[in-house]
Amino acid sequence: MKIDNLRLINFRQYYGEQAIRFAPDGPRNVTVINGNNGAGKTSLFLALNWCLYGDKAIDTPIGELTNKRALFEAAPNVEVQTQVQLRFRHKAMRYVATRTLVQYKVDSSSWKALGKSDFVLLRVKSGGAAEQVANPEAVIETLLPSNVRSYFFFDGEKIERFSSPGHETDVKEAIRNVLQIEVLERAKEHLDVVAKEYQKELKAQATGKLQEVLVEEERTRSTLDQAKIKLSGLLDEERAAKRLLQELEERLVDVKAVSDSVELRHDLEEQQKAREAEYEQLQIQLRGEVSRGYVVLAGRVCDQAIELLDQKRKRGQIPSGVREVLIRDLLTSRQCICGRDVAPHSRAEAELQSLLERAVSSELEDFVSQLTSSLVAVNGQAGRFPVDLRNRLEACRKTEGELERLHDQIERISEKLKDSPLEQVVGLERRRQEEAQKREQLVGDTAVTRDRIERLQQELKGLEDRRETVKQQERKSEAIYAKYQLARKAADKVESIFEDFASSMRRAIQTEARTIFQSLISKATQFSDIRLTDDYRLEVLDRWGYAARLEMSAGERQVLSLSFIAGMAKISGMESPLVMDTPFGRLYSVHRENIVEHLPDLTGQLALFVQDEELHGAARRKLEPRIGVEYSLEFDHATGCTRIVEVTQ
Amino acid sequence: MDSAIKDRRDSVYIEAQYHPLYKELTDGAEAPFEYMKDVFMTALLLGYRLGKPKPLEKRHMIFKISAFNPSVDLPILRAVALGPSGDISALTSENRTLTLAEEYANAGFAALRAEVLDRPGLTVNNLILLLQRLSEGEPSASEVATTADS
Repeated sequence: MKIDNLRLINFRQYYGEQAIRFAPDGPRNVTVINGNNGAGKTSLFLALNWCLYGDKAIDTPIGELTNKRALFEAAPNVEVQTQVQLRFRHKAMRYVATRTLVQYKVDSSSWKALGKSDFVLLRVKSGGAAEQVANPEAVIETLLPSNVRSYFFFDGEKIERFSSPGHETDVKEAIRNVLQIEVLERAKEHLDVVAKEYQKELKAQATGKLQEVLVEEERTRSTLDQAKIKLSGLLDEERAAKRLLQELEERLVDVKAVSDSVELRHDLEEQQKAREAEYEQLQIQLRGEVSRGYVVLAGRVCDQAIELLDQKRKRGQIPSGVREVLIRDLLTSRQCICGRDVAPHSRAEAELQSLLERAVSSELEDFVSQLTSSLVAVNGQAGRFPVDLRNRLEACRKTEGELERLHDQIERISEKLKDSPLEQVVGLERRRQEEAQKREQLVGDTAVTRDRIERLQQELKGLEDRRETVKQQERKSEAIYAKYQLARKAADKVESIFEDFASSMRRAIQTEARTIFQSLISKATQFSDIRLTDDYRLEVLDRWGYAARLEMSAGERQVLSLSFIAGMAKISGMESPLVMDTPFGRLYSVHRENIVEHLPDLTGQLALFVQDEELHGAARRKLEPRIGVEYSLEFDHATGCTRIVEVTQ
Repeated sequence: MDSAIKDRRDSVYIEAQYHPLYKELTDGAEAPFEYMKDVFMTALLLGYRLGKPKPLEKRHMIFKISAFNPSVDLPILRAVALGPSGDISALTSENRTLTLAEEYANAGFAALRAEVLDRPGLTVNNLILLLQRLSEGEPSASEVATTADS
């Protein structure tokens, strides 16, 4: 969507007809609207939303949308029209969206709306002819869905919520809506419902064994669904506990008297994690070696076989001295190598036949010789096994020792903190240990639940196989069964597609947002990178690679959120202008300058509603070359109305 | 080399009643064996030490032949098939080789169960101790049989 023009008639403090044109995309793609508090910036913002989405987009009562002066001047029972018209382009088509509300004055102090607002959408062809679009609200929903508009038309000071702790749901919701992942989610849910309906119908029709299997399958599936819900809840609790632990840790670090100890403990815990990972690897390798350790038992049988084969070789039995191929050739040609004929049933023939029985085929000779060398190699492996095993066990023991040592050191620091003379430290440490225990419990419960889910899934697979088998025997309900299978398979497939897609989109947004963040943030800042985690936390990393959201200022969080929104918009491919109300309020000058320098490049059209003092100095100078159109909102205190005045450059 | 082999087969069998134990020895990260094939080979070699193959009463397919490592397992199976008699023709029949292996594995599984599953302690540790003992001390087949019976 690229906006050309916004026209208002008697909308809020805009008396009569007034219009704003928007700078087109291109080198000068920025529209600036200057206005102090109360001048009417928010009303313009509302006008845009109201025009496209109607009353649900704003929380202002309908009656207050109409300009008061226009209502005051109107005679009783005369209609007063409130209208907002938006002209825009979308993928080479031009549109005119017009929303109109008609009110009439009942008496000098009251007025009444004539029904709800009316919305018309016209498609304008080249040549000027226009055709009305059927289902205009639905068409607008496809161009810019109402549940994503707040990510493109937003209040600059409120967007920092995406980067505030505890707003993972907002981030996840934003990604779902902008990338329309919800479509897949709905498809998954719908197919699941359909499959369950067919299953019920099948159960009602089926008799005997098939019904038993279906009942059991339904029960198992229901148990599995509950287990998945439980797992989701546990993971949420685990994440909350992890966040709380991090916050407690950070608060402890803030206490100067103990910060060194707390940081040391953190380092030791990181070392402990690394050692645990190493230990796990060692255990896996050990298990592999032990599993194949049977080679060490093969010594005797290998030696025996090598000895036997060697003896046969020495006795001339391998090779046999008699080649099978030669004897067969002689029998076929009926002539010996000495030239004598070999007649059928003759003594010569009988001799050759007996030689054939003794002959060992050439393939077998090669086979036997290779077997000997293979057995020698197996013996070699067996010889190395005790040494390799000893080394591996030694490595495991060493790592176990290191883990014990680290554990003791960590415990000592924790005890010291619990015995601190500072009450604050004692309280924090006690709470931290409680939370750590709680988290450990949750981790255990999560593992148990995951295991249960895996077993239920295997059980379900077994039941599905059984169902197939039983179904083979029952000829009835074939049509219902086929539909049930189709719905079930489709639901399962969509679920797996959904998981993969959501994950890949999250990673793509992270990459894009990272690039934007690094261009917008002040270089002098301690923050080096951003991350969008698996559980949809938007995190910024400090120069040491640690998550550092809590240290960010409101302005820095605004930059982080802006990077996320711009990244998300880019990945979604959704074409929409970025319209920002009060974008620079909390930003300090370096951030402001970075944003005005880079933001116009992140979007086709950029509209900034700014207060006079927001955009000045170096930031103003940087933005000047990109400004296509600029307006000033002049509020008249005498009339209570605002006039839109174009600022000529 | 493989063209010398006749009577091909594609599956390996064990005694049906041992299948749950094979699973116990391989299921989970704590299990001592990674693969069923490894359980089979260990049982086979323990059984060879006992010297008396035991025919299967009720067969259960446990894995495909392709699970065997061609450079380690197949030579061992052939060495077992060659046996004390040294009859080379035994090597040419895959069916004969495998049948003999299955019977030795059947005989040796009881010993494996006793040493690894029925002893107290972690099964992987029990297996390590068994392998260490046999590789260092190499007790006679009757000594292994006595351990299995106790």
